[in-house]
Amino acid sequence: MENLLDGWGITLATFSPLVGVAIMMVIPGGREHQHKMVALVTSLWVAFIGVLLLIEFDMGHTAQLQFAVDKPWIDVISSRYLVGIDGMSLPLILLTMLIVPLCIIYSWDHFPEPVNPKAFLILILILETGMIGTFVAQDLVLFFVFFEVVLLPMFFMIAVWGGEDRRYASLKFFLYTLFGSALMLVSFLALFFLTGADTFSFTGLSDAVAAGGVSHTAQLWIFGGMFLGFAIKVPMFPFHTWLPDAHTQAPTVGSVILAAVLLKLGTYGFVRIAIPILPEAAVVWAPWIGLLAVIGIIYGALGCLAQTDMKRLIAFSSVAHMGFVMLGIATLTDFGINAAIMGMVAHGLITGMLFFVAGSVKDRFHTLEISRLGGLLVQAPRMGWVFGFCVMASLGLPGLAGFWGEFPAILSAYQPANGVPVEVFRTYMVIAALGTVLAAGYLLWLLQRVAFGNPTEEFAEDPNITDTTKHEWIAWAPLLALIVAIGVYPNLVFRVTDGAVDASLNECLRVDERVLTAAEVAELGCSDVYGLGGGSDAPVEHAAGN
Amino acid sequence: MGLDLLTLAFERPAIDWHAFAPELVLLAAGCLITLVDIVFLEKARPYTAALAGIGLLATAVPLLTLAVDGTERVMFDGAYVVDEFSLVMKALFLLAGYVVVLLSTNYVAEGDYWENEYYGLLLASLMGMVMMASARDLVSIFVALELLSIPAYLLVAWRKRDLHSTEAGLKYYLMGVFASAVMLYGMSLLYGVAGSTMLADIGTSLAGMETSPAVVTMGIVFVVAGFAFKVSAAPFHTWAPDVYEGAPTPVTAFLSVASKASGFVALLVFVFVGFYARSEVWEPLFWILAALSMTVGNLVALRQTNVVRLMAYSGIAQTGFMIAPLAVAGHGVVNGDQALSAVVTYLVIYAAMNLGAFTVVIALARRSGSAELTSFNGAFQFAPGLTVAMSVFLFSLAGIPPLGGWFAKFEVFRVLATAGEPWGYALAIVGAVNSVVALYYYASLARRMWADDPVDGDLGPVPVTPSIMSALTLCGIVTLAFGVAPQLVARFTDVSLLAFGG
Amino acid sequence: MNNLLIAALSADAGLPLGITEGGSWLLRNVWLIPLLPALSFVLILTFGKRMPHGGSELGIAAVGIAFVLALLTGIAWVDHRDNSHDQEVHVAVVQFDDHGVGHGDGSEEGHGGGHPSLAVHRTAIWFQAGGMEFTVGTLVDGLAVMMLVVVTLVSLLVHVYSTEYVHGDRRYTHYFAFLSLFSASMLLLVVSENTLQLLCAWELVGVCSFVLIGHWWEEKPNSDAALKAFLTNRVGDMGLLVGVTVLFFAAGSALPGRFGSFSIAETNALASSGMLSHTALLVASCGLMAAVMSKSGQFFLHTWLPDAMAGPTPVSALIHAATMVVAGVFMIARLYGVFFEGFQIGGSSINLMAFIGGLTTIVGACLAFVQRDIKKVLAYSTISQLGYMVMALGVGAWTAAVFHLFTHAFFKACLFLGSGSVAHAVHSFDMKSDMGGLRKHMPHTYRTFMIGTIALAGLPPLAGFWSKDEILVGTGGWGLLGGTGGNGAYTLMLGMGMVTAALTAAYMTRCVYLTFFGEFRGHGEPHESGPRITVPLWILAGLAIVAGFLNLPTGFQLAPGSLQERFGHYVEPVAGYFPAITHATPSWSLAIASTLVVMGGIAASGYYYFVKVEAASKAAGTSLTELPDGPTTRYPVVAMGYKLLDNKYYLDHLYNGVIANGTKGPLARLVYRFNQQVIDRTVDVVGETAVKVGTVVYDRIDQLVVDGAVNASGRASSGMGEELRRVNSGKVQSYAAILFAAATVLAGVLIVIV
Repeated sequence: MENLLDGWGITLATFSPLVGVAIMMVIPGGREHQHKMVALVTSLWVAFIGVLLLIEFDMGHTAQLQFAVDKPWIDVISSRYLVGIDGMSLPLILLTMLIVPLCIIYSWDHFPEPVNPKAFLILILILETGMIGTFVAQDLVLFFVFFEVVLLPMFFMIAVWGGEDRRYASLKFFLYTLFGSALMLVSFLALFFLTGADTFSFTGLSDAVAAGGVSHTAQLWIFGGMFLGFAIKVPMFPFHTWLPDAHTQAPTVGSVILAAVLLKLGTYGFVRIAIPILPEAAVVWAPWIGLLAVIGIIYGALGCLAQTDMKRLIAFSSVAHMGFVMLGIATLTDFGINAAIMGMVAHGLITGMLFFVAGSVKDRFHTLEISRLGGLLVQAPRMGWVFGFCVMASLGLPGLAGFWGEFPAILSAYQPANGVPVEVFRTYMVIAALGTVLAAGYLLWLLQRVAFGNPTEEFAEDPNITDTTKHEWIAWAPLLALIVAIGVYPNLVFRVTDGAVDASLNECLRVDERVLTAAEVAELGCSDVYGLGGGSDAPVEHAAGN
Repeated sequence: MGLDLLTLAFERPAIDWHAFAPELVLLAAGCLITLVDIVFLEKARPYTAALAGIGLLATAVPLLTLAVDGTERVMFDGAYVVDEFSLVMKALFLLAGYVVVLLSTNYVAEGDYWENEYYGLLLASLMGMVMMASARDLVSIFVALELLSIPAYLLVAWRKRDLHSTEAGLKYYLMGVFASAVMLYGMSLLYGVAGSTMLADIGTSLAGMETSPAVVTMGIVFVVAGFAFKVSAAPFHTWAPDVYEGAPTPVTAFLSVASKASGFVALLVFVFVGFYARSEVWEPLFWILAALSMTVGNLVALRQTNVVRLMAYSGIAQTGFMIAPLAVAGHGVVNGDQALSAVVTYLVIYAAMNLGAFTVVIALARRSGSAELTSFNGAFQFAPGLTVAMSVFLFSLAGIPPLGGWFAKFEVFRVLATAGEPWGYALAIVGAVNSVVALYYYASLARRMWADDPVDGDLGPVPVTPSIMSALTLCGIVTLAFGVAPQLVARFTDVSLLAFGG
Repeated sequence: MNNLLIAALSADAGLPLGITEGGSWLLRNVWLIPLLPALSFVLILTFGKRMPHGGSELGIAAVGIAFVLALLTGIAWVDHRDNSHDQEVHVAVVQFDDHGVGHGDGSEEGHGGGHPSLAVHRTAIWFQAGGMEFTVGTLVDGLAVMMLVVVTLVSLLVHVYSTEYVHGDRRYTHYFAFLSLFSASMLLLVVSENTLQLLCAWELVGVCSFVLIGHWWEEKPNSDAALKAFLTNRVGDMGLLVGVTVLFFAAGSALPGRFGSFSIAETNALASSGMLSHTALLVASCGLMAAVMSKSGQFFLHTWLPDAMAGPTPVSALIHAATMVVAGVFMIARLYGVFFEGFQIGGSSINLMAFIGGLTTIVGACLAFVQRDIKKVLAYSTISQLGYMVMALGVGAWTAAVFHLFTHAFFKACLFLGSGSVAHAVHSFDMKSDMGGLRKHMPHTYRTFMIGTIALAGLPPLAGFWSKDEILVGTGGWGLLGGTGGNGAYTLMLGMGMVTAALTAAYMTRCVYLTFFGEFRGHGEPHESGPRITVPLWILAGLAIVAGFLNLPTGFQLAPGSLQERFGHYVEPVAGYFPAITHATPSWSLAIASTLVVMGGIAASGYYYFVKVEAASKAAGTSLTELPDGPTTRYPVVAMGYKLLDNKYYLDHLYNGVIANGTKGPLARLVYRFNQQVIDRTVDVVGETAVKVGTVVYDRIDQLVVDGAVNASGRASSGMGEELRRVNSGKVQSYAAILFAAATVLAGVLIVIV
C-alpha cells in the first residue's frame, strides 16, 4: 500500500500546531490579528492534513495500522516513536482536528477575560498536539507522554481564563487526573516488566500477555491501575467530581475541548489499551465497570436535575453520557465498543455544541443561573432553536448522533461477551434504559426553563441580547451538520470503527454463539475466566439469546 | 633507620596526568582568581566572575578529551578512578557550577559582598566535588567531602550583614560537623571489619559474609546517614530549609544541586562498590529514607509561604525520588545498573530544572527583594517570559511530560516496577501519590503567577541580565530537550559501577 | 446484498417469511412517500419564510403528492395481493428439538387457504457494527398501505385546514415545517422494515408531537404539556428499548451465524413458528406493551394525551387522534406474531393486552363525561377508542382492530377539526361557558360534527358501527346465534366493550348538546368557518359515512359477496410473518344488541340534557349546562365518583406530585448533596488532610522550635545578642538530636531485623 502520507502524514499533523506555536512565540503580543490568523491557519492546515488522511485511509482495512511510523525514540527503555491510525482512532482524530479550528473561530472576537489571544491560542495549539498525539500513539510511553501533555494547557486555560472559582477548579482537575495517570504509569511499567517484552508497543504487549507469563492476579492489579487512570479521565462515578468544577469554571472554548476531546482520552484508553492487552482481567472487571457505568448514568442524571447553573448541568450530563459509553465498553463485545466509540464522537459533537451555546448565553446574559434565564427563543430565536436541537440530540433522539451512542450500548448490554455475567448486564440494561427517561427529563426541563416562556424582566429590554453571530454560525454549522449526518447515516462512523474494534478484541471474548469443543478452546488458548468450559469434548452451547 | 625505611616505603605512585587534568585546571583557575585578587584588589572585581566561568569551561576541555579517550584510568591502587560514571558526574558538577557562577554574577556584585573570595571558594568546593566523583577510598572520599563542604559553610554565611545568613552558616557548619562525625564513625567500623580503606576491598570483605554482623550494619547505616545529611534526605534534612533560606540564593542553588549531587555520588559509590553484597541492610534503609523524604518533604512543602523554603522541601522530596531506585538496587546486576543509571539520570535532569527554577527566583527577587510566595502573584502580567520559564521548570519538577522531569520520574518508577517485588511496587505507589501532592504546590505556585493579581499592583517590567538570561536558556533547553528526547540524557547516564563491586 | 437474500439463497428449505424481494415499482419504492414530506420539511425551514404563503404551499404540495402516491400504491397492492407470483423469501433457522417448523404455515388457512399475501420487502445497508450489517428499508403489505393512505389523507386535509386555522400565527412557517416532519416520520414508521427503524421513527413522531404541543411555548402550561407528553412517552420507550433488544437477540438465537436480527418479518415468523422461547417473547411483549401504553394513551400512561390538547387543534386531529397515537396499535399489529405468542392470545380468555385495552376504554369514556373542554372530551374519547383497538388486538381480532383504526381516523379527525372550527368561531374550547346553540350559527360544522358523533357512537350504518361491531364479534364472547369462534372466549372484554359503547353514546350526546343546542353562552357573534375548514370537514364526514362499507361482514346479505370483507382480504396478511389467528363468525343478534345498547346510552343522556336541562333552562331563563340539583348534589356516592373523575383518578397527582417532583426535588437534591458532601468532600478532605498533616509534621516534628526563626528575625533589630545565640543554638541542638537519634534508631532497627 503505497500512498502519499505514509511515513510523515501523522507526524506532520501532530506537530504542525507546535510550528504555529513557535511562530506565535516570536510575534509580539500586541499584534492580535496576526496571532489569530496564525492560529487559524495552523489549525486549518492540520484539519486539511486530516482530510487528506481520511481520503488516503484504506477503508477496506480499518483494522490495520495505517500511515504507521516506527522510529527509535528512547532506546534505553525500548520505547519507540510508534504512531499510526486505524479505524478506532480515526474518528477521534478527525473530531479533534475539527473542534480546534472551530474553537478558534468561535473565540475570534470574544476572547475570555483577561484578553490575551496570544497565550490563549498558543495553549489551544499545544492542546491540539497533545490530543492528536494521544490518539495516534501506539506505544505506551508515547501515549503516556501525550496523555499528560494535554493536562498543562488545560490547567492554564482554566486557571487563567476561568470563572470565579477557577483556582480551585483548575488545581482539582490537574491533581485528580494526575493522580490517576501516576498509578496508570506504574501499571504500564509493571506490565512491561512482567511480560518480559522488549517493547512498549500495544500490539507487542498484547501478544506478550496472550503468550502467558503474566499471572492472573497480576493482570487484575495492572488492569486496576489502568482503570483508575482512565476512569478518572472519563470520568466515571465516583471519580467524576473534578468534572463539574472544571467544566463550570473553564472558559467556553476550554469546556468545549474538554467535553469534546479530553473526556475521550479515558474511554479511548480502555478500548485501545486496557481491554486489548488484558482481556482476561477485563472480563473480571467488566461487571464492576458496568456497575459504575450505570450508577453514573442514573447518578449523573439525578445530579443534573438538582443543578441551578446551566453549564454545570451540562457538565453533569457528561457523567451520565459517558456512563453509556462505559456500559458499551464494559460489555466487551464488538457491538458494545463500536457503540462506545460512536458515543464518544456523538458526545463530543453534541456536548461540545451545548457548551458553545452555554458560552454564548453567558456572553449575552452574563449569567447561567437557570432561574434568571428564560425566553431565549423570543430574544434569540436562532440560538434558541440551535439549543433545542442540541438538547434533542443530547437526549438520544433517533436521527441525530446521540442515539447511536446510546441505544446500541443498551442493546449490547443484553448480551455481553463470554465470561461476563449475562444476568447482571441485563439488569444494567434496564437501569440504563431508565437513564434515558431521566436524560429526557433534565434536558427538556432545562430547555423549557431556558428557551421557552417569555424573557424575564431583568433581560427583557437588554440590547446586548442579540441572535447568533456570524462567527458563531461558522463555528457551529459543521457540528450541527455532523450531528444530523451521523444520526441519519451512522455508518459514517461505524464503517470505520467496526473492523478495528473487531480485531482489537481477544478471540476468546468473541466466540459467542458458537459451539466449541474442548480442543477448540484449547487451541484458542483461552483461560477459565471466559467461561467457555472446554473441559470435555462434548459441545458446549453458548447461545444465550433468551 | 626510620627515615631510611620511610624512604624505601614511599615510592611515588604513578600519576596519570591526563586523568588529573580537570582537577589541575580547576585548581589553576582557583589560584588565578586568588592571585588576581591579591594583585589587583578592587579593580579585579568585575572580572572574577568571568574568570571563574572561563575556568570552569576550561576544566571541561580535559573532561572532553578524557571522554573521547574513553579508557578507564585507575590510580593509587584503585583509590582514585576516572571512569564513565565519574566523568558524567564531573561534567554535571562543572555545568552546575557554571550556572551558579552565572547566577552569582549580578547577585554578589549588587549585594556588595566580597566577590573574589566568593568565586575562589566556589571553585574550591567544586574541586572537592570533582574529586569526589573519582574517589573510591574511605580516605579520599572523606578528604573530598571536607574539601567541598568547608568552602560551602563559608559561602552560606556570605551575606555577612544579614542575620539569617550568619545563622544559616553556623547551623550548616555545626550540622555538617555532626554528620561527618557520624560518618567517620561508620567508616571506622567498616575499616575495622575489612582491614582496608579501599572500597573495593570492603566490598569483597562484605561479600564474603553470610549475614551482616551488627558492626557492619552499624557501619553501613552511619555512613549512609552521613551522606543522607549531605543530600538532605529525611530524617537528616532538618538543616536544609533554614540554610537554604538564609544562604545567598545562588549558593542555595549550588547547595541544592551540586552539593546534593556530590552526596549522591558518594552514596552511589559506597552502595555499588562497597556495600553491594549487603543489600539486606541498605535496601530497607533506602526504602525508609526514600518514603520518608518524599512524604515529609512534600507534605511540609504544602504549607510553606516562602519560595526558597518551598524549594528546600521540594528538594527533600526530590531526594526521596532519587533515593527510591536504591531501595531495589540489590536485585542483581542488571537491576543495580538500572538503578544507578536512574539515579544519575535523575540527578542530571534535576540539576537542570532546579537550577532553572532558582534562576527565576533570583530574577524575580531582584525586583521585589523578597522570596515570599505572594511576591510571585500575577508575575505573568509583569514578567511573562519568566513566568513561562518558571512554569516549565515547576512542571518539570512535578514530572509532567514533555518536560524533562517526567523521564526522571519514569526511570525511577521503571526501576521500582522492574524489581518485581511488592516492596518495589509499594514504593512506586508511595511515589505516585507523592507526585500528586508535589504537583499541588508546584501548580499552586504556577497558578499564582499566572492567574492572580500582583499584590502591589506594580506592573513594571523585571530587568533580566544577560547572565541570568543565559542561565535560563541553558536550563530551559536542557529541560525541554531531555523531556522530548530522553535518549539524549540516557546516552550519558547509562553507566555502571558494578564491575568494581563484583 | 442483504442478509435476508443471502439466507434465502443459501437455504431453500428454511422458514418461509411471507415476504418477497420482488413486487411492482410502486411497492418497491414506497420510500418516496416519506421522503416527500421530509424534503418539504427541509425546504420550509430553509425557504419557508420567503414564500408567499409562508411555506404552507410546500407542505401541501408534498403531502398531496404523497397522498396520490399512497393511493396508487394502494391500487398496486390490490393487484399484488391477488395476482402476485413472486418468489417467497425463506430464512435459515436453528432447529429446536421440541418445536417443529410448520406451525406457522397454518396461517395460510386463515382465509380458507386463500392466496398468500407476500409483503414487498426492500432493504439497503444502514450501518455495520459488531461484524453485522444493519439495514433500513420498507416492508409493504396491506397494513402499511392502509396506513399510508390514512396518514397522507388526514395529513393533507389537516394541512389545508391549518392554512386557515393558524393563519397569521406567530410561527406559521415553523408550524408547517413540523407538520411535514411529522408526516414524514409517521410515514417512515408505517413502512418500517425492522424494529430499529420503527423505534427511530417512533421517537421522531414523539418529538414532532412535543414541538407541536408546545407550539405556543410562551405560555408555561403549553410547554408543561409538551414536556409531559415527551416524558411519559419516554417512560414507555424504556419498554420499547428493552423489548426491541430482547427480540433482537431472541431472533438471533434462532438464526445460524447471526447474533441478532431487527427484521420484523423474521422476528414475527420465528415467533409464529414457535422457535423463540416463550419467556423472551413474554418479556418483549410486556416491554413493547409499555411503549404502546404511553404512545397510544392506554391506562395508566394516558395522562399526557388530554394535556396534549394544548397544541393547535389541527395538530390534535392529526397527531393526537388520527395518526400518531395509533402508532402503538400499529406496532402491535405489525409485531403481531410476537404478541400473539407472547401473550398467548389464541385460546385463552384474558391477557394483559386485552385487559389494559378493556380497562382503558371504560376509564377513558368515564373521564370524557366530566370535561368542560370540548377537546378534552374528544381526547378522552380517543383514549377510550384506542383502548378499543388494543383490546381487539388482545382478543385476536386483528382485522377488526385495524379496521377500527381506519374508521376512527376519519370520524375522530372530523370531530376534532369540527371542534376546532367551533373554537375558531367562539375563541374558546369551554363548552359550558362559551358555547351552546351553535347549530344555528355553524350549519356545516354542526352537520359534520353530528355525522362524526353518530359514527363514533356506533350507530348503523356509519363507519363506527361496522368496526366496533367486528371488535365485539371478535371477542368471541357472545355465543348467542353466532358471534363465536374467535381466538378464545373473551367474555369480560365483550362486557367492557358493551359498557363503553353505551358510555360513548352518552358522553357524545352531552357534548353535542352543550356545544350545539341550547342558547349561545359565549361572547360575540359566532360565524361559520371558511371553505378551507369546512371542505376538509365534509370530506372526513363523508368518509365517516362510507368507510365502514369497506369491510362488510361475511354473510351480510344486503351486499354482494364480492364486497364483503374487502378490507380484511387486502389488509390482513396471509403470510409466514403473521400468526395463525382464527376469525369469529359475525352475528346479527350481537349487532342488534349493541345497537340497542348505544340507543340506550343516547336515550339516557338525551333525556337528561335535551329534556330535563332544556326544561330547567327555560325555567331559569338562561342556557344551563347542568341541572342545578343534579345527581352529584343529591347522592354523595355520585359526588365522590365525580370528584374522582374530576381529578382524573389522581394519577396526575401521583405522576407530577410524587414521581416527577420527587425525583426532581428531594431525590435529585439528595443525590447532589451526596455528591457535594460525600464524594466531592472526600476529595477535598484528602487534600486538606494532606495539608494538615504537613502542618503537623512541620510544627511538631520538623521545626521542634518552631518560633525560633520567627523570633530570631523579630529580635534581630535589637542586635546579635545573647538571646539569638541561645535560640539558634537550641535549634541546632534539636536538629543534632534528630540526626543522632535517627541514625541510632535506624541502625538499631536494622540490626534487629536483618
